[in-house]
Amino acid sequence: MKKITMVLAGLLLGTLSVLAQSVVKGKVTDPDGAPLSGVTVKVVGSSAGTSTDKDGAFSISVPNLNASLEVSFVGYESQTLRAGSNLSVIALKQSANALQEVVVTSMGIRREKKQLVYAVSEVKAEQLQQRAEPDVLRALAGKVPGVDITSGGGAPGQSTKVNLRGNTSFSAVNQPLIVVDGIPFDNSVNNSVGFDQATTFSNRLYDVDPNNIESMTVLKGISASALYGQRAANGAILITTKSGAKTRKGMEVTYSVSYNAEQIASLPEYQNAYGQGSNQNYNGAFIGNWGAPFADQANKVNTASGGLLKYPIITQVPTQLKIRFPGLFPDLPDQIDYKAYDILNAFFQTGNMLENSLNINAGDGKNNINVTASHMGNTGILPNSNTGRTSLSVGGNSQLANGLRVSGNINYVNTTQQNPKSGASLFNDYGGGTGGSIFDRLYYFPRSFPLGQMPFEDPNTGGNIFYRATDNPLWTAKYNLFSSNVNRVFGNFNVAYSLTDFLDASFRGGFNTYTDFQKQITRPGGISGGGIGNVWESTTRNSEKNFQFLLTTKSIDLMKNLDLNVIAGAEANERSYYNQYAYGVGFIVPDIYKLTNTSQQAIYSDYDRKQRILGAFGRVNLSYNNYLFLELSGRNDWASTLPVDNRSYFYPSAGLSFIFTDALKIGGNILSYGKLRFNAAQTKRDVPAYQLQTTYNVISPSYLTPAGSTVYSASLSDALKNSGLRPEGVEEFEVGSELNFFNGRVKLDLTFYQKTSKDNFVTKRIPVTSGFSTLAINAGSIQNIGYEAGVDVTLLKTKGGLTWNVFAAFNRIRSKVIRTDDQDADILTGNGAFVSNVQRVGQPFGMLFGLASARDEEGNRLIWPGMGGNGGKHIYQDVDDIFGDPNLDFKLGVTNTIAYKNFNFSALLDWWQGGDMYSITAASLLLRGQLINSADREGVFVIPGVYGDPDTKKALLDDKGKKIKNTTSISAFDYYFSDGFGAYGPEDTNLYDRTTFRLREVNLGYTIPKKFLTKTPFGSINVSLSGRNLWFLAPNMLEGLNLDPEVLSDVSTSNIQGIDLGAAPSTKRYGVNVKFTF
Amino acid sequence: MKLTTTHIKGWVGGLSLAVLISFSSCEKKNNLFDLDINVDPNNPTQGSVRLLLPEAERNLVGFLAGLRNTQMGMLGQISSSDSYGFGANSFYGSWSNFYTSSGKDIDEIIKAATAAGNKPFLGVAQALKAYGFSCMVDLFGTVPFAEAFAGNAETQNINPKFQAGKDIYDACYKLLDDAIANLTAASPVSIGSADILYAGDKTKWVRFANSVKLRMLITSRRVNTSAASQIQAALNPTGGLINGTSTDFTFNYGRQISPELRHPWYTSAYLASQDFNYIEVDFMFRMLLSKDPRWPFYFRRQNTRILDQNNATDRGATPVQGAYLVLEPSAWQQGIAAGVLARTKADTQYLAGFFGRYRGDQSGVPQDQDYRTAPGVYPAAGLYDDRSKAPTLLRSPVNQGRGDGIFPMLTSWMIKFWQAESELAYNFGTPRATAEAAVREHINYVANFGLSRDPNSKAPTALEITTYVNKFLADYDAAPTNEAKMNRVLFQAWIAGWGNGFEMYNALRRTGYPSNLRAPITLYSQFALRLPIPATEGALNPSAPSPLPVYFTEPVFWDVVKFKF
Repeated sequence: MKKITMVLAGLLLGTLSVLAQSVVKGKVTDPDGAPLSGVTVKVVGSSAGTSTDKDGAFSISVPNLNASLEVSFVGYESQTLRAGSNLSVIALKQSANALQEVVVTSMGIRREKKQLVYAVSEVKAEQLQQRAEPDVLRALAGKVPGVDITSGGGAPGQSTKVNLRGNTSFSAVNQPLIVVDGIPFDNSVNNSVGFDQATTFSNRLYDVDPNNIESMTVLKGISASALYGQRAANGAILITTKSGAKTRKGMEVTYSVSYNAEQIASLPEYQNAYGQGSNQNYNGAFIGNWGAPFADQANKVNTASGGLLKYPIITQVPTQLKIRFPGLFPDLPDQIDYKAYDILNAFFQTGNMLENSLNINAGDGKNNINVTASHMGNTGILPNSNTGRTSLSVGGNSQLANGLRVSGNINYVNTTQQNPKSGASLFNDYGGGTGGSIFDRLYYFPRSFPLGQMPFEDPNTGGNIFYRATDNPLWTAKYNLFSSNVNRVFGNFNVAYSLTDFLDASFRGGFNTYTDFQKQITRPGGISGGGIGNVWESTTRNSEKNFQFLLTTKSIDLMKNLDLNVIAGAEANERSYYNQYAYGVGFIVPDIYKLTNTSQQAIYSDYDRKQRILGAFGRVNLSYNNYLFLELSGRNDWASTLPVDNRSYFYPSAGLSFIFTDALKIGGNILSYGKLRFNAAQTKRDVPAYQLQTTYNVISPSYLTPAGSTVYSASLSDALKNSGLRPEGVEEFEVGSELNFFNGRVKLDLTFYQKTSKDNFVTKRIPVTSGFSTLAINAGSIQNIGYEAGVDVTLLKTKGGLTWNVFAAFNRIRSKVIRTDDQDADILTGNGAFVSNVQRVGQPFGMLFGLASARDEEGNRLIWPGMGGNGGKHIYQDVDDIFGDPNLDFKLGVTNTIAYKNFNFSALLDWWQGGDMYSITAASLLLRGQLINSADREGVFVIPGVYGDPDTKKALLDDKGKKIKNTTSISAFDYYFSDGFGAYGPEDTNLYDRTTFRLREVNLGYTIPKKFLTKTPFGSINVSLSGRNLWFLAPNMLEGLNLDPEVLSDVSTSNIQGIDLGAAPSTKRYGVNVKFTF
Repeated sequence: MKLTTTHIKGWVGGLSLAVLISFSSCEKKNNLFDLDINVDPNNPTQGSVRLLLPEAERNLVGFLAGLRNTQMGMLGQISSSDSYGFGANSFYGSWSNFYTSSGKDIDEIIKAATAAGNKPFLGVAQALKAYGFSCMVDLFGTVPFAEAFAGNAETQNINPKFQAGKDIYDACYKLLDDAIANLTAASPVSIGSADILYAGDKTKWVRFANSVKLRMLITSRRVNTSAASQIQAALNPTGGLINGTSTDFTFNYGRQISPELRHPWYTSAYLASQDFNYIEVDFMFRMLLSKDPRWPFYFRRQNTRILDQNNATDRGATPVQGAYLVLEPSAWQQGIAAGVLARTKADTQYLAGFFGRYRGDQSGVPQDQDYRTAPGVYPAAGLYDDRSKAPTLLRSPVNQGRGDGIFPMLTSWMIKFWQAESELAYNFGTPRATAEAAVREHINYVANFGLSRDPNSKAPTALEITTYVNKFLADYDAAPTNEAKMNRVLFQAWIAGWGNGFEMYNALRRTGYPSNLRAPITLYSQFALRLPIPATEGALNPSAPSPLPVYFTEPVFWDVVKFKF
């Protein structure tokens, strides 16, 4: 757009002085024949020029027919033609040079990438589709520098977290704004219940089918997303769907189908030497494996050391079942062999995923229509776990005879999800919860308990059967199901009109609304649900309306070599949210899981929220000589959630980019292109709704007296609100450089930024003796310093058609908490586990916080001196404190792409370096003596450390003043179970470095040569094999644990990090994809 | 401020407004440009005393109920807190519950009722406040009082000062006097159903206020030089004391499951997860030996099976040596000597149902939920235990019993025990008769309650009751001094304290009686002379004492005994 020289602009500047001698006419199109408007047509060697109209037509005066015309347009290769030649169709070729790359930026404005003053990454549809991954965000992982994606586990549809440039808030969601076809797209997680009940909630970006995406742009910094304003304070991801994209002339039908198998990614390596019990004694009622050895082990030890280990021949589990459920299982054998059984492989199943997508695209150059229909079905590795997504979208655009350009699309998606309760195991094991997750027990059975061979339900009542007061995972998987059904509709329309030759006006309006109906059943007859069962139903409605008015100028030549572009606009946005949560207990008739079939019901939530933002914004771009670019922008918002006096706020941004290779004319074969970018930007944002006035809570459900009368009551909330709240602020400074070497064989894109949030809204903890437990204030501040690098190297490019490209995406963030609240007190966040995250001034974001072992100044663990009692065991710290840093050192994704003729191979390897994780899975497996590392337990064990004074927490010194190494031995049971490295030990014993190497994605494709298709209806056929998460290595985790460290500590919208709470494990997928075009 | 064209200057705003006007509406809710929509539509900004009172009452009960088990554990009745291993924040939940829920709402009622001249509500709230804060002082020693609840005050104070227990007691006496004055004043306002404890009966509230005053005088009598005369006066106040079940200050739990209104003991012991505390074996066994008629109401056996000591699994589930009575020779000897056990199969099965723990037994928890003795019909409204029948497992079929238990907070029989104690302490009245009346009243109280809740309950015969009472009286008569007699009376108060906790914790700290309780096997600290003030309060509130008092060395202001094992 910038290069366009307008006739009108020329007139204004008085430069059009040549008298017409003859006039030639012509038309410019793209390679598909669609007209291109705004194309610059210049007479070479003169200042005369024009640009094409909306039909691609132009007319220009030329001195004579031999004059040369230069036809140029952003993103296309320029052409020079003789004025007298046939100009009726000038088809411009799209530019192969990446320097001319055009990207979608804020507000959907397409701009030449070289002009941008900030970092922007574009992702092509092909990078996301047919990658054995139905979740857009997971498909994006590792592919874009500066985009940090963490998936939450392997249950179908389980949420995925995305973050750009670190956290700016302690409590709010730190995820980018998602914009689909110009309208904000809610990416919430509607988690009706906590992490202890079910972890399988989706984030709502899951409603977008990767097959329906045309392109995706990531605006990482707040300078890039400045026009979007406050809601893009954590960056923005812009998605253009196929039906929202401009279509090409002609008709194309694309049909693609994928089938994938899905399996558990990894299983712990169990020991097969010892079974149920404690202290090497058998006990058939226990969970832990500290009991008697199995026969093989006993014989081995006895042979080796002449010991006299005894072992039982049979397990008493069936007997325990018969005692607990007398008379129910007459056919169950009294005795089964006391040995290790394969439990997990009998439980997990192989899932699958089937995707079908049909896209029809038709157009005549002026009018286009695009229809997409797709379906995805995914069954998971747990019984009864699945998701489904059906989407239908229709979009079109048209140029009307009166000059109006109209486009719009509408999309419908139905997303379903079902999972048995598979929440965090920690809570039931140690938290006294009654969530009843499959993972409360599944990984931690006695080795001698043959899960698959034992009954799990009462043959008469269908009730739960287990040898302890716990739900059997098989029973839970069969009956206790969570489900979600989302119906989502979103669409937009866009009307544009050229008010004058240099001024365009456009209006875009759209909506995005969904209803998420969730239900969870706890069948009667189990332990969770108190035996009588319960059901809850939750209905969430989320709606967003957004209207935008934009005025854009075409390039205005202010003077020679200096062009000006101006955008001004206004926006109105409204979000509304509604949730109702109803709960019923005690089923009246069996097997009908409806609220109306329960003996008592209560409504726990009936909640409405509405907030609005109005904005006015403007941007000015100046371009000097096509190598120096200045951008200034500003936006003022008016937000409904702030007090009237603080409701209006303005924030600016400024940026500069400089293509020094052009300016200094130093571009050569070695350094072919070099650009520097600088920008500084500010965003302010509103606070959550309804934070200004302390309210009373009406107690619902009402209290029923024993006599049966209802008593209505209310209580003053313990959250003290604040009528003086101000907008939060985020400031960012960014420097970057794009460098191309060897004519584009090596490309570097480097960015450094510093981003600081200030005046964060925090609910500060206050002494409860004030009558209130929290107070809303503006105080928090977090700083993030980051480095992003994209390295693109074409290693090989042979004449024979072999190319090998390596693309590396690097991301490193250093965060620091600058302020917490007005007294800089620690802020604790957590989900009820005994390990929390703490926000402490001077420390990185969200450090791990818990009761750790006392250590000396060198970091040695302090150990109680002496034998017996506490001797040889950990000395604990007095109070909870920081014991680990969960923040990764860096993430690096490396994509190798090898293409040869019709073959295409790509492999994405990624590397997560550093970051601590507290693992409940490890703690629980150790605690119960399950892992291979505890197979040897006849010897004695010594905790590494030095003797310490339990009172002073200092190391003891010998008579030479030296520390004394701990040599007190303890039993394997004590070492792992009571007070050692298992769950009952100090928190830091289960802290692991989560460095991971992973083969995240592999794809091998083959395009059938066209010559084989000439007699078929197909235009092209592409066949590919794809695999996901096929291999990982976490070298610093516990031996034999085999836990995938890529887990979330809660749903993706939570800021809790670095805690594995033992929920659904990750999966791997592999399959085949076929894509036809007609 | 509404956004109007004056705020968006120039043609940009004008034009956009023109286009958008069709999407706005006159109606506020739908007018996209109306920003005055930040009033929470879900919650009211005004509270009424009628709505606040029932919630304040429920939350006050909830606060007290939350601490009940701790005190019963500390005094050797259930396995809760029975080794005194308190963390710095063990009671933050209760502390926070009092200050942010009931305490604050009571204070809101006082503010609103004072402003409106609403004397009945004011009187009720003042009486509740005095009762709540006297309990807080008894538990925590020094707490914020005058400056508390000022987070939303005109002059905001989020860091209230702590006050000495004695000062708070004095302020509470004053509150009680004001309460009685307000409750006896004529007023057009009636409380009615907003009061879930006394159904708005002002005369009962006056009795309650008088009884709270007596309770405070008794509790602090050892540091009050004029206690004798003040207590004697308080025993005959104008308006009377709580004097029977119709005026008892109790909370009745319900049968409702959702939201849960059943007694917490019931939901923990009778539902599938069965995670109720262990009942102290010694407590159960003493009641068996003394043929206490309340045994079948207090406890419910589950099992008659004797754990097989040759089976590893059963052996792992057996309580520590001595505590598994059915296999304990000395238990049999004592039982036979007392004439309550014979070496019969039936009695063996009966004794096998006594499955609990010794005080302070901190060993791990095996799979024994099907064996543990559960709380019975009183006060949990579970099941009556008929010795003549073999018990059934409580988890199957589910939902035996109903859970509509009771929380006796301040009752007529408690007053009789206090009266007996003060008559012995200050040599007036007829302490022997008062004590007998207290014991008889409590036995009847328990039996009547049981009969009203479990239809299978059997009332103890008059002979059974008299036999029991006479044995107590003989013991009482044999005691050589008034102090020794008081020890016997307070042992009976200890037995009666099942399901209350507060009064026996206060009594032991006040008198050192009953002096014959079994000491815990394990002690994490010395006996708790108070509960630890939460460390979180200490950390957040600069006005909190620093360092915070040590709970096992620093007594509350009225404690001169400073009990120690």
